[in-house]
Amino acid sequence: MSPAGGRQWTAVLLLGVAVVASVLTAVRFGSVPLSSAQVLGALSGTGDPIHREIVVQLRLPRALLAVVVGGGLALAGATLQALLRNPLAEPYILGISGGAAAAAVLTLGLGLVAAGSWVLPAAAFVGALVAIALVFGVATAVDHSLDVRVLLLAGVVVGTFFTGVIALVLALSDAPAVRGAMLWMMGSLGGAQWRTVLVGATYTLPAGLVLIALARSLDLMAIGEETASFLGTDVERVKRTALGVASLVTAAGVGMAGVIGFVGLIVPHAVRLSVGSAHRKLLPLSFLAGAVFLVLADLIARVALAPTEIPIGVVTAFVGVPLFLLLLRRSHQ
Amino acid sequence: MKLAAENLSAGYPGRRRPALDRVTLEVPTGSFTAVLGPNGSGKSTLLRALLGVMAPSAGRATVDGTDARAWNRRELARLVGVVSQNEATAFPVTARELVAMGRYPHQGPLRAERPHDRRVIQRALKRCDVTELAARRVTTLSGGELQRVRIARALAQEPRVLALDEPTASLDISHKMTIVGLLRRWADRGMTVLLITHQLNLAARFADRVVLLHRGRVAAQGPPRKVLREEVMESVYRWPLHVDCDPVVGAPRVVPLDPPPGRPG
Amino acid sequence: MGLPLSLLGSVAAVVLASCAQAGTPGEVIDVFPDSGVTVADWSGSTLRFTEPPKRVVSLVPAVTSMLVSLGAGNDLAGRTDFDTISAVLALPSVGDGLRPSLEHLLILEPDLVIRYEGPQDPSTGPALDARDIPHMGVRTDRIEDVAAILVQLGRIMGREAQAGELVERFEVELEEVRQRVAKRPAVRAAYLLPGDPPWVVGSDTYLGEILEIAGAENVFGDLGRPYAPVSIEGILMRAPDAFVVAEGTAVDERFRAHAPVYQVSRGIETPGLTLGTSARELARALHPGALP
Repeated sequence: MSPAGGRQWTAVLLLGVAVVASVLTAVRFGSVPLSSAQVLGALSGTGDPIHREIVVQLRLPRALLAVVVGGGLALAGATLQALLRNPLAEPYILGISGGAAAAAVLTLGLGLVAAGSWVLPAAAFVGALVAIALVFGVATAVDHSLDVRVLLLAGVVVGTFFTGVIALVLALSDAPAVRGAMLWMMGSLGGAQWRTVLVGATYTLPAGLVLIALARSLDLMAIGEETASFLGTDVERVKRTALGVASLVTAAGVGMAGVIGFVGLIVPHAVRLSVGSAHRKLLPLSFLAGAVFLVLADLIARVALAPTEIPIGVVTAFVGVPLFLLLLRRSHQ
Repeated sequence: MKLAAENLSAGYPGRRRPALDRVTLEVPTGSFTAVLGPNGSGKSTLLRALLGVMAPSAGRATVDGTDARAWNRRELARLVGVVSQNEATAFPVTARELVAMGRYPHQGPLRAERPHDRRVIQRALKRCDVTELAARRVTTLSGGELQRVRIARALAQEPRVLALDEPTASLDISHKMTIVGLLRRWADRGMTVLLITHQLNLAARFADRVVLLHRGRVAAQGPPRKVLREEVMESVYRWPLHVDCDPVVGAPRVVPLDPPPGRPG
Repeated sequence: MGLPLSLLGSVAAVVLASCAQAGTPGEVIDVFPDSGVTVADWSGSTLRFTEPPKRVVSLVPAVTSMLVSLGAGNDLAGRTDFDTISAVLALPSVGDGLRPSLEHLLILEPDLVIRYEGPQDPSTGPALDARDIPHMGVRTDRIEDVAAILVQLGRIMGREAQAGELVERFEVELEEVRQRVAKRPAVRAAYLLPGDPPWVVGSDTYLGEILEIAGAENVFGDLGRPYAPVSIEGILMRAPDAFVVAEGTAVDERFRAHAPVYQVSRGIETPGLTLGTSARELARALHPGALP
């Protein structure tokens, strides 16, 4: 094992431990104060049934959903940044958030949510897929080889279109629907159930493996498609696979937790500042770091003003921005 | 390993004139071939079409006798190293990491770095005089340093053909001479070298063969002495030139003259 | 077709009765009055109570107030951050009424949760269903809904007499306001809600009804939608003689130049038993001297 490789595995191990620790912390603390004994009792299946319900059915799935969504967003962000060779790329850049939000608002506006708790996530997921299909369709129609600049523009244009759709639906629906839509668009992990976690993991974990298998191709794509091609990459195949997989992960995340910003943009940068830009390290570490970050952010969102829950976007911005600036300063010293 | 083109034409969408127009040429095994020509004469396009990253509109390009488009890109990348002009540095990889990418075609997606890979990388770094830069982020390197790191990456591919697009453009005299001298030596040892350059005198002095492109066509090809003739060069470059033999190095020397009266300078 | 009409009629009646099992919002379905109460909530689900619930959490402040007015304050187990009446402030809060903390709800072990029904809160209902906690979704789109909720609560909590009294007092209060201004010419008014452009109150809303009771004619009574954003131009086109807003609503200066803007206490936008007071306040503003 080379020293660099050794360091990489140390970092993976450390962050892996951090994920477990953060999940345990998120299970230990919540908006209702429980003692360690009560939480342990609940986990071992002996304690008070209410405590068991809170710990096993509310806190644990919620923390695990944060792992899946946070990790997935960071992974998708790192991938899109490499493919688009744009440090400002984030998972929603290809119009995904717009499509998902439009579908969600439409579902709320038409009163379709009454059919069941699965309707809203499913609609958001479908909306995200429609947006992706539109963006890819527009980009391919313009340039058959899927030029990333065209792709970015198509993303912006399709996103703007969906913003229009949202505005139209909101203008035509009643005030309560508007309020529900606004709350949803701010993003929340409150809908976490074991079923959601399972669905999320089925999307995110295989997707993560596919992307990690493409790590070397992504290294090359990040320095240019022509160079990547000269260094043995099937550029079109890698581009389509990686964009498709990253978009799917983002779409699944949007369906389960709404639009959560910041994680997908900043976590990959923070990891790059610490371990460099090689995707073999960047992708797994971004997943773990994104997971830890979102688990802790959600914990703060639940606990800070309990029983009132602050929107998670507030926490990611208030905690994430200073943390990132600190890291940026340290890396330039 | 040789590269060849037969009636190769290629173009870009939205442009009427093809960037390459029925080009027929050969880059023989172990030769040092320089491609010359004014801006927009199709030099970089030739490189792309010759190595199959760009589809020809007519004719064909072959690498080692096989159609360039039919090659598996990874197999081709184990044989042909390219230093092209278009490369982004959006993210801060280290010089060592950039050179290590030259090993990717040999490693595939998952295989870790082996001792042999490390030896090849070390040697490539040393040959291009960038060992001290290994830990630096490429975003902090000067243009010349970055260029040498990229040549080291192509070397790390352990290629049998090395193609370079303007590799010496941002290098100072000593590094320019070192690099071109290395290319000459590698060609002597059997590597096929294809150098695209604007440095006419350097090409005349070090290359075995010169291909002169003009508006997408081959204006002349052959040994430097046959190609670098005053009337040919003047008509291609549209500028008064004087060509003589450099008394020190014994190769053709092209000297641009003042414009004749009445022509815009 | 030899069937006598009366038989057809009774078949239809049976069919209707079985439909009613699904429940008409606000209906109290008494199959066997002695063995409990069955009610249909505003989401169309039916709930059955064999005895009055003892640990109620209401996420809707107007309903919380009704429960307190019914004398069932001691049966409340918690409240939300939305609640302002002093009688419940000592109770533990479950947070936001539209996004309650499930942990807090669970720990209170409620035997009935009363929640907002509608797209503003799509998740609380399913979450409570998953945990077998009885819940009742309410909407207060019309004034009659307020009365219906009160009647239901009376039956559920075993306080029918108090509920009957309160409903009567509520209806008398509104009727009195209506009588006092009935002789006066109706003021053409538009009720403005916050927004840019502002949202107006349209047809089939309790706010529209309050306007009418207080002696106004809602210039947007023909809107066809309960609430909608309308351009300033569109509002001025209707040439209302008065604008009505709740206290604290920002009003565009251009409206003030056109007609007087009357401010009513914020309570008017949380429909409940206080609507009588709101109607009275509005009538006083629109028809000075009509009410003592």
